[in-house]
Amino acid sequence: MPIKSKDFIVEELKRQIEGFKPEAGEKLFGRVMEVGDGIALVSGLSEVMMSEMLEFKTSAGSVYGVVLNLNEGNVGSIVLGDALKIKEGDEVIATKRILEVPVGEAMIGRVVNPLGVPLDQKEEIKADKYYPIEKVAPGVISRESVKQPVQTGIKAIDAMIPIGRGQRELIIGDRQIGKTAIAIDTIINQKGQNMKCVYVAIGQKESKVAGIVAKLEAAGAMKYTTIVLAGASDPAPLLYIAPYAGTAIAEYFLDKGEDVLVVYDDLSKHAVSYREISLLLKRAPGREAYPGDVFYLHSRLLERSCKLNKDYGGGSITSLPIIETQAGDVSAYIPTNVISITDGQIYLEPDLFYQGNRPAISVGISVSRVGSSAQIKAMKKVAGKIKLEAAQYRELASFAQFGSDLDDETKKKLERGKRLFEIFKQEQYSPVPVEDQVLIYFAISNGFMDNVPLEKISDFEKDLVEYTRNNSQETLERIATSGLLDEVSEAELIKVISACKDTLDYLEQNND
Amino acid sequence: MKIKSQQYALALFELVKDKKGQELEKIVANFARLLTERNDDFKADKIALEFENLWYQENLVVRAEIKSARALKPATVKALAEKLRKISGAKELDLSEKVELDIIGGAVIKYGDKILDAGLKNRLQKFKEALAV
Repeated sequence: MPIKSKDFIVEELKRQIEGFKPEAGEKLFGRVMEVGDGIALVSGLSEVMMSEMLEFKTSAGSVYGVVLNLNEGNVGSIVLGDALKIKEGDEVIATKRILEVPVGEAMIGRVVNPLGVPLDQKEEIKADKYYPIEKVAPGVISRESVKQPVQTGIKAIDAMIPIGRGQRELIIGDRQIGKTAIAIDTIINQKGQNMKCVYVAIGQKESKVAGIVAKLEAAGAMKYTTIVLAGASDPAPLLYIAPYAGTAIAEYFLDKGEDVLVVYDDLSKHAVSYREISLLLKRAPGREAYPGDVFYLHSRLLERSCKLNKDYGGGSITSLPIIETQAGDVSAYIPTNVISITDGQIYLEPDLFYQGNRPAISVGISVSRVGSSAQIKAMKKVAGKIKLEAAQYRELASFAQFGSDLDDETKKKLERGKRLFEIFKQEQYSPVPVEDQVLIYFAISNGFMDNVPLEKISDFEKDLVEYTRNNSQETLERIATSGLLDEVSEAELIKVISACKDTLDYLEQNND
Repeated sequence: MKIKSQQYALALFELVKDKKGQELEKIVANFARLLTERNDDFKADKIALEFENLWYQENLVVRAEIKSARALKPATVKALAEKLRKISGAKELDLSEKVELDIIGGAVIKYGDKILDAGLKNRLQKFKEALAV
């Protein structure tokens, strides 16, 4: 019925035209006194609000800014856009709006800047809604404790440092040590896990981000991922709002009751950009020249990660902030701040990295304060022993260095530990499904790997998973769907592991 | 010690507040001498501006500007000025008029740090936005 629908449009139009009241709205205006380095000082605007958006009417079109400082007689603001267009004396108009970004389903699979403008040369984004970039975090009433797991697909993390939906887990370490790799692997592993992902690149090289996008595209992860990019060449104000914009995009899905994973890569550069803005706005510098509210900068961001209870939709935002340390110094200002805000940290150690243990996760210092409630039951069962064994091995290994005679029990533990740490090694971009992890950990903690030569462990792992997939697929599926490891499954696993070992020719015979 | 133009303006303003005739001239001359002595004479323009601001503030004078597409009739300007005096609470208006074809029709009125946009261009823009939703 095309004619009728047209009628409807005309009627609607008539109704709107009749209902339209032209209002001569009173607006605040001011003039630019000073501009430079992404900062503008504006006179007038006596009744402007904090963090209100400003429109700079320049000769080359409008540029937008945000109020950050309210002084007597002038207003300090950051400029989001080309500050070079603005000249002294330009007119500035207060918009009576807080800075907002477009959010919605259309953002998925896109690369956008912190204002929601697409950077990937695909079609324009038709946003469902606009969300303010700054929002007060959900309160106590609407939250519940973290209990569902986020499967990172990284064996060492899923077993020993489990991350739950709604948790904030810091990834910390020196440069070039695999921090981003962990986050990207985690995003790749969210395929089919009912999880949306937002990757916020703050001050990253655009080439690195292009590489990440290509990798995610190849792994099919862009189907559920949004990338918010504030590159190294973008002005500090854009870097400053990037993580808040990313969180706003995530909050749209949270409000729909969905689970979201947000990666902030990285918050050290975010703090540096905020320091730049603060110093230019002549706020007093404190420790390491950061302003006094740099803690609040990150705490208000990370508090927006949450697990909502059923009454509030049951969605969650899990965040993986990344911090880059200088020469392993975790006691610097920003690292200690973010460590204290988050619910645990994954610490990457240079020594481990150069020994070839990749991912270079330091098992001792890394913790998850949510603990085993964020693991499926099957994983909890096998990983409980693993944690203990890893701890015992580290202790024994330091003694064993002295080369004294060791009793058989100790030797056995050392051998087991060596194999365990061999298992923790994992190639980049190859996350392991949780049921496979259960199988591998089950095999090692029950002594099935004791007669596998150390250098053959990774081969054995591959062979075992492949053999089990071919011969006992249903057991793995049962573990994955039920999340349980009951006696029946255990018996089946023992059977299939033994059978698999019979087919291999590289095992040590005398030890069996 | 560096003295800001705002501070200069305030000092001058307080000095000349109730002065007249010769006394006033003397103060202004002295002030000019002080400026050159302190090598601050380049600030004169800014000081003058600040002084004007202070003067207007004290005497409840509000700067206003009426922009229209065509020159307005004196009666209209008078009516607008009366209305402006009421909403801004000013005793006196420092009114200037400007003709700008860009706003198509109506008038755009600025007073203090507020802007009242009743221009046709702005209304059309608003109408466009209302229809777009």
